[in-house]
Amino acid sequence: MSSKKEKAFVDLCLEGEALLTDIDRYVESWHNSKTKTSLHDYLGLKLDEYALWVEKPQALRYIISSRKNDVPFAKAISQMEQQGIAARAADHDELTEVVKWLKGKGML
Amino acid sequence: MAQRQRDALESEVKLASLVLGRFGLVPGFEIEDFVREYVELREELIPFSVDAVFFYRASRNTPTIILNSNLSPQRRRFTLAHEMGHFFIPWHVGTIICHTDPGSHMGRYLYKSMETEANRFASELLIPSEWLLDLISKHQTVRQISEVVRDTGVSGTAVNIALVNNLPAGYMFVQTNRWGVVQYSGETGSTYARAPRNGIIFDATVFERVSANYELIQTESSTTHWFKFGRELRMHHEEEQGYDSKAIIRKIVDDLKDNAGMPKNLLCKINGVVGGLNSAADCASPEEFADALFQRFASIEDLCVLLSRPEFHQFIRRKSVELFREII
Repeated sequence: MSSKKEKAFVDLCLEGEALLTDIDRYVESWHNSKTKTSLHDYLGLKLDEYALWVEKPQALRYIISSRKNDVPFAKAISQMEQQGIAARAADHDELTEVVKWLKGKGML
Repeated sequence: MAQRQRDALESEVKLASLVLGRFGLVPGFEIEDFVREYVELREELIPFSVDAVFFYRASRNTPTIILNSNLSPQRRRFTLAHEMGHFFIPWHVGTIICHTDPGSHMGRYLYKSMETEANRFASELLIPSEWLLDLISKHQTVRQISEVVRDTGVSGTAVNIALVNNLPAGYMFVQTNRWGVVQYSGETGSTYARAPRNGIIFDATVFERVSANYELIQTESSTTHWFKFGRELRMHHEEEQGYDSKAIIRKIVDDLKDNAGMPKNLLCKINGVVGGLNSAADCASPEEFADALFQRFASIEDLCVLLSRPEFHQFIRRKSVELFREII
């Protein structure tokens, strides 16, 4: 097994060595391997993170974001739940105006 | 690219490189077709000074990009690549209101960091460093390289930023608008010259005087000055024997003491520049150190005027010889 494969999927994402969509390949590779490592460990997810990802695949991005920015998992997930509202802009006024404009257009 | 070099790259740059390889993209690829494969793309005249908005709509897994329809073709291309950065960078979340202009990243740390990462991703996606390094090795002038890269549909600014990140030590660019005001600037790593700050009116003559090569590249909207430093200086006879640098600089300072344009602590400032560079620079000869001093003095707004005086050149040369004699 190459040294790249020895690293968990989440770590490879953080290092720029894997895309989010590669997770399917990693799951497949776990199934095909004789490893005794659990799937969540193989992917680099904690058990609660893994459980959430199974339910909501879009959570993976928030899990990786929480690792990258050292933000508690629960906080990252609460951001996911208010997805459209958790917007970022150069400043507060711009944010308010653009979000209002998007809502006016029916896009948020 | 060697593994060690690749390991040193930022994660978002490596991701862009991964995307290029995975999808077989080459410089000049049809970006809009690529974007539409993964993202819902809409164009709107956004009534604010933003380039695009990236967001996930509730109930949809595919993200949406609202692209401002008033962008130039080059800015549009870069903005689309930037938005794909938000899509491919695995830790980018939420709705992001984007400004691709590198000078406009205000606000909170996380926002600034995501915008900077998306810009770096976009730069690598459109101007892959491996391709650019190959071009650099095959062309003699910055102008030739710049023309080849601009032919792929990117802006002069994107080319300048990619070049300054990939050229070897000793290069500096200054991009000005039609009024000669600095918009962007930068120098390659380990260069002694310091690029002027944004917003000032730029006078190229000072740097031209101390550079080994100077190129002027003009586009419709901006002018870029490229300087290559590292002149091969030859010391004159008087630097080898006679004349004391302290006496030369005291005379210059005395001559200028009533000049309103000069700083009050002129001697102290000059000595500070020499001392600072002497501590930091790793020069092999007095000629190399003198060249480093010329570059650094040209970079200091209130001291660069000294370079118009031949006796200041004499001071720099003499001081360099003295400092190296002390080392020996």
